[in-house]
Amino acid sequence: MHISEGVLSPSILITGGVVAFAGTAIGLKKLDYDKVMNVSLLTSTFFVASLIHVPLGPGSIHLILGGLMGLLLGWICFPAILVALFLQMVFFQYGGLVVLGVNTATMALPAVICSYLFRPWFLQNGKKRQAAAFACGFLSVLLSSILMALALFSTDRGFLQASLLIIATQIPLMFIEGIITMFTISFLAKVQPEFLQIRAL
Amino acid sequence: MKYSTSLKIILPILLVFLNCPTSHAHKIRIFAWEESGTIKTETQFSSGRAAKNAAITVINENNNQELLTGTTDSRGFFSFVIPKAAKENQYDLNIVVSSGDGHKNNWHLKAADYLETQENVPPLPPSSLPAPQKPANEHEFSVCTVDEEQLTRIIESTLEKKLAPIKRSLAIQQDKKPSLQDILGGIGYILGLAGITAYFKSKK
Repeated sequence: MHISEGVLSPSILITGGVVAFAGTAIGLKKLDYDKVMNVSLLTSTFFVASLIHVPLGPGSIHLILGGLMGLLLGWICFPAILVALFLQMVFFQYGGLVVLGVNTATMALPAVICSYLFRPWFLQNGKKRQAAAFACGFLSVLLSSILMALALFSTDRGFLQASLLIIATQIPLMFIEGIITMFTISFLAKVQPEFLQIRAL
Repeated sequence: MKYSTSLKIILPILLVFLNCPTSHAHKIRIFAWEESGTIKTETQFSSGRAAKNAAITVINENNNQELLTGTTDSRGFFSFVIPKAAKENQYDLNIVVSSGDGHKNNWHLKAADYLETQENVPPLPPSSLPAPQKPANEHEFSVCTVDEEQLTRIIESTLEKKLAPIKRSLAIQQDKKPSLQDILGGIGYILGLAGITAYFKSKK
């Protein structure tokens, strides 16, 4: 999911940067003193999750947990994902400084969209919450891969086939993320319901 | 409450230990080394899988000119004979790999690194050899010198063969994989940032 340095055109890089900056500003405004610690724990989870890779097809895919971040944090997932991606760049050399904005936008924007779509179901107990969690995990990966494909495609039309391939290879990940998000949310709902209230209403 | 606080800590830590043995994710890597006149490149994804059919571009670093291009085979290897121009003008090479799906990486190969062994290949000049004492038998002498030349060549080629895997593993080791220290360091930074944020938020 991390686009490397030197692949995208400047206009895409700037667009991504602007989106990431705006999202981070909104997210920081919504962040309260009481939530800081919970947010940082979720940031650590996101930071580490990308190291868990699932060997599939010609390459390998790794967990993103964007849906989980979105459901639990809403707009706050922007600063959380930005920090996590920056540290992944520093420590693991994934992505790069120039594409940090684009990578943040492709992962955080779908998470925010999903969190708004499924918020009403998420607030209800039982099956509906599980369904919302699954859908959120599934859809956030789908939207992320579409955004990434669009970013590549608008840089170079020759990337069309590769762009479509990206979406196709992410399909198994959509199911995996959906299931993981579902179990995590139902586990959190059982043992620590406060965790589900981080996001401002 | 005790249960819930422990959960907060367990979630990230569990993930750390889950992935430790196979801690690589999606990133393309490239290594290059010189082996008896050709430059060999190996590409793989950070999971350790070979990057098949990835595009390789060799660029002259001194003037950013493209020297040659190619694609990797099914094992992720691509090798090319060192271009004459590069050999003569001692170009530093920048070997770029792109998998076409947004992953790209490069490897810098300094002229000194791939030309070093090349310069040594021609046999030692006769002046540096111990002055041959003229033996009584002319025939015996000629056999002797040929042997010495051959010996140098044999040693060179054997060394080349034996050193190739070492060169490869040296090249691979230059590219670090994420270690437990990196992961824990990153989590430490996140908690530190959280502390700073909490401090500023508490002042309001």
